Amino acid sequence: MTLKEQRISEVKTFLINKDLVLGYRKLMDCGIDTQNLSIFESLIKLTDWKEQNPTEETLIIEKSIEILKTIEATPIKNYSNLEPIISCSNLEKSYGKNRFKLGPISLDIKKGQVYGLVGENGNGKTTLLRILAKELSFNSGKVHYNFSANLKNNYNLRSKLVYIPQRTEKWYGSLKDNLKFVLSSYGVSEKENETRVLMMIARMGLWNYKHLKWRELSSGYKMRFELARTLLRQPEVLLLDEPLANLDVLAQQIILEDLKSICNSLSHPIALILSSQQLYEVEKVSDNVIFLKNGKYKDNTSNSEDKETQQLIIELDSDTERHVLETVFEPLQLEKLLFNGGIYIGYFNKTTSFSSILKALGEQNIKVTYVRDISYSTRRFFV
Amino acid sequence: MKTFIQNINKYLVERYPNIWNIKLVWVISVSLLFHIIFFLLGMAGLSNPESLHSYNAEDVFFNSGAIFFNVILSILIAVIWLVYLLKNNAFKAFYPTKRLDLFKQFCCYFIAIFCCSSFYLSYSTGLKTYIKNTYPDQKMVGYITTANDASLFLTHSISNYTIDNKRFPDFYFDNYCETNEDLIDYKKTYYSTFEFDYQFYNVKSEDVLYSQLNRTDSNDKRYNVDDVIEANSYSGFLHKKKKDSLTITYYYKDSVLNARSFLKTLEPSYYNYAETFYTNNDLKNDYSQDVVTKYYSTNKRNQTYKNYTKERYLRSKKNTTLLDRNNPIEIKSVLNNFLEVSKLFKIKNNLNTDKWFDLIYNPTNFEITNIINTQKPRDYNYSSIKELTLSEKFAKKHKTKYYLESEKLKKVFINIDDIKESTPVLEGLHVFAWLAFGCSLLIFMFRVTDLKTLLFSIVTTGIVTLLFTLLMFLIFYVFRANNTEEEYTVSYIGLLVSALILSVPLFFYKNLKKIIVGICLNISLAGFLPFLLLIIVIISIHQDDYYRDIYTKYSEHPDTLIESLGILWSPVFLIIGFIFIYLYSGIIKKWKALPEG
Repeated sequence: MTLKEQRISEVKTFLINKDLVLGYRKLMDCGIDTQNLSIFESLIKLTDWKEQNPTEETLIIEKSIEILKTIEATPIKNYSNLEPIISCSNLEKSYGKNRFKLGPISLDIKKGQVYGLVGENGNGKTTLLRILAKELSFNSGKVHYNFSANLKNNYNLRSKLVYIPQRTEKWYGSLKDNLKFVLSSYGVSEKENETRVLMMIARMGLWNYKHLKWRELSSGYKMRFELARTLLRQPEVLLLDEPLANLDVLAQQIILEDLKSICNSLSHPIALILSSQQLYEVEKVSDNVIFLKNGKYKDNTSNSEDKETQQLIIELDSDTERHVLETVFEPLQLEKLLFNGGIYIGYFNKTTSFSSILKALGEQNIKVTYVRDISYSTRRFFV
Repeated sequence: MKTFIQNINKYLVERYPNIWNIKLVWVISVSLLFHIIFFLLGMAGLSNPESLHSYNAEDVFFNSGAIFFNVILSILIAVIWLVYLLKNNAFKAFYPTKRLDLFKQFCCYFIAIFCCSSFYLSYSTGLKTYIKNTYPDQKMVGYITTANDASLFLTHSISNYTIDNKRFPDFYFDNYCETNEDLIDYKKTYYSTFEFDYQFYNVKSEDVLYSQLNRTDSNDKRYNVDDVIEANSYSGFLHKKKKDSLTITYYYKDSVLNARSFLKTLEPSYYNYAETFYTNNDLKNDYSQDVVTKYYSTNKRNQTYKNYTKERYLRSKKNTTLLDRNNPIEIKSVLNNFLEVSKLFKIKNNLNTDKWFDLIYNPTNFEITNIINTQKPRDYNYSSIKELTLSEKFAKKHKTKYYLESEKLKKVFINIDDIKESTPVLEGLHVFAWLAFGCSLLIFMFRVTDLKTLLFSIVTTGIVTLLFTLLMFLIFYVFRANNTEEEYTVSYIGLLVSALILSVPLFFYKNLKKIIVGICLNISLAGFLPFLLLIIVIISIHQDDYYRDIYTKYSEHPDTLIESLGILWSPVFLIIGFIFIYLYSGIIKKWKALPEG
C-alpha cells in the first residue's frame, strides 16, 4: 500500500466512522496534495454546501467519499528528496562580551518534519529562528540552504524562508483580498488565484470569516489567517515563533494538528520549526524536539547517553502530602522527589515501570489530578 | 456602490496587486472629484467682474482662502491614504519583488501625491477657462477699442491735454517739442501756457561707428557693448539706436521752428490727447502693420523721446479726425459705448451719455472746460498750505462732481490679458512634480526601510551637515582661504563626503551593520540629485575659471554646464531622479536581504 493509498483509506475510515471534522480536514489535505484545480473546485463547492447545510451529515459524507474517489484516481507526484533543506554546523551567536550566547548548534532540517523548539524564556529560541530565517547574523559556524529552486540572490532566498514572528502586523481589507494579494504578488493568474485562495480558506476553517477584516477576527483566527497566508506561498521551510501564544487549548491542538498534516504533504512537504512554551502539545506533534537551555542545544533524540534518561521520571499533580507520597513510592526505588509548589517530579530507578507507579497510587487510594511519564519528554529539563 | 467598489478591488487585487495595495485608484478617484470641484471653484473665482478691479486678480487662489482649502484637503487625503497604505507591505514580507516592482511602487506614490496635492492646477485652469470663454479675444478687442476711442474724453488730468502731447498732424510727429526750460532757447520762438514753456525743433541724425567711440573701459570684460555705448554717448542727443553691428545712429535737436501756423490753441485741448487707454500684443501687432516708419524707437531708456511712437501718432490722428468731424451723435455714441463697457465690468461712475457729452463738448478748439474725477469725490476738501501753480488752479477751477474709475477698467483689461497669457499648469507642474517627488521619496524610504532607519537617517544628515559646517568654519579661519579657494574647498569636501556616503550601500554593504547601511541608503536616495547638482556646479566653476582666462569679455563666454541647462534643469533632474530610483532598487533589495546584528 502506497502512502497515498494509506492516507485515502484513513480518510475513508474517518468519514465512515462519522469523525467528520477530522475526516473532512484530512480529505482536503489529500485534495491539496493533488494540486488539481478541478478537485479544489469540487472541495470548495462542497465546503460551501456544508457550511449552508451543517446538519446534513450523511450527505456531506457521501459527497466527500465521491470526491475522495476522484482524488484516488488522480496521480500525485511524491516528493522524494531526503536531503536536509537547512544544515547548520557549529552555529554561534553572541550579543556581546559577558552577555547571552547561543550555540554552538548543529542541526539538519528536513522537509516533512516538524521541529519543536522549546526552552525557557531568554534561552535563544527566537534568536535561533531568526538566524535560520536569515533575519539575524551569526558570529561563527555555517548555515547551508538547499532549496529546490535556483535562487539568484539573497532577497529571493529570504522570500523562501518564511518566518512568522510572535507579533504579526495589522493588515487592511478583507481576509480573502489579503490572501489574494499574496498569490497575485507571486504572479498567480486571476482564475487560479480565486480557486487556490478559497481552497486555503476552506482548509484553514476560515470559510465563514473570509469577508471579515483584521479588527473583526479573534486572535485564533488571526493566527489561522497568518498560516493561510504563509501556506499560500508554498514554502519549503516554515519558521513559526510562538504560534500558540494567545490561543485556547482547543485552538492550539487544532492548529498543531493542521500544521503537522500540512507539513506532511506528499507532493509538497514543508520543514516546520516552531517555538513554543506548550511542551506537551508541541511534543505531541513534533518529530524532533530541540531544547535550548542557556543557549545550549539538547536534541531529545540524540541524548540517549544522558544520565537522566536512564531513570524513570514522572510528573504528578496531587494534593497529597509529600511524606505520604514518599511512603507510597519507597518500595519502587524512588531516588528523588521534587516539589515545585504545585507539581511533584519523581525520579525512580530505570528498572521501575510506569505501570507499577500507577498501580501503587491506585492501591493506596492516592487522589491524583494528573500523572505523566516524562522520561523522554523535554519536560524533564524544566525542573 | 459597495458592490462596485468590491468589484473594482477584486479586479485590482487579482491583476495589479501593487495598485490594489497602494489604493492608487481610490486616491486618484477622490482627487479627481476634488479636482473637478476646484475647477468649478476656479470657474466661479472671477465670475464677479469686480474681482478683476485690483491688480493680480489671477492670484485669487492665494487671496481667497482656496489655498488653505487645498492644503487642508491635500493633507487629509494624504493622511487617510497613508493609514491604509502603511498596513500591508509585500516588500517587507519578502514576497517576490523585482526591481521594476519597487520602481512601480515609487511611481504610484508619486502619482498619488501629485493628484492629491495639485488642486491649484485645476483651479487655475478653471479660472483661465472662465476668462477665455467669458471674455473671448474678439470681444475684448472690441471693448479695448471702445475704451481707447473714448479715453480721449476721460478728462482726469490736464497733463495729457497740453500741446507737447500732440502728435498729429505730421508737424508734431516729425519735430521735437522741448518742454525742459533749461534746454529751451528763450532767445528764439517759444510758446507758453500756465507755467509751461514749449519750443519746437527740427531733428537731425548722425551715424557713428562703434570704433569712433572712446572705449576706455573696453578692457573691462564685465562691460558689454551696450554699456560701452551708454558710457560714451555724444552729449546732447535726443535718442540713439543701434543701426547695425558697426553703427549707432544719434538723433539731435536742430533748428527752432515757428509753429504758429499749426497751433490752434495753447490751452489744454482734446486735440492734444494722444494716449492709448490700453493696448495688448494683439493691438500692437495691428499698429506695426502700418506704413508709418520713422526713426523713433520705443526704447525706454530715452525717456525724453519715448513719446514719439507711431502708436501715439495714430491715436492722435484718430482723435483729431473725430474732433474735426465734430459730429455730436458720433461723439455721443463713443461715450455711450464706453459707458456700456464700464457697466459690463461694474466700473463705478456717476456719468450718463448726455451729461458726459455736456461736460466735454466745446466745439471751440475742443478746449478742456471740465475735469472728471478718477474716483468718487469726498464731501470735504483738505485745504493745502502750498501755493497752487497756474495749471493746478485751472484744474481745481474746472473740477466737477463727476467721476469714473477708469483705472479699474484698465486693471480689468490687464488682468484678463494676464490670465489668458498665463500658463499656470506649466509653471505649477514643476512645483507639484517636485513636491510629489520629495514626498513619494520619503514614503518610499519608509516603506523599503523602516521608521527607525528613516529617523536615524534624518538625524545623521543633520549631524553630518553640522560637522561639515564646523569643518569649513575651521578651515577658513585657520587657513584664511580666499573666495575662489572657498568655492573649491566647500565643493570638493562636500563631494568627498557625499561620495563616501553613496559608496556605503554600493560597496560596503556586507561589511557594515544593516542599520548603518540603511541610513546611508536613505541618505543616498534623498541625496543623489543634490550630489549630481554638486558635480554640475563643480564642473561649471571650473568652466567659468577657464573661460575667464581665455575670454576678455564676460558676455563672450560660452555657457557653463549649469547655464546651458537653464530652465531645463527641472525636467532633466526629475527624469534622472526617476531613472536613479529604478537603478537603485536593486541595491535596496540587496540591503533588505541583509541580516541584522
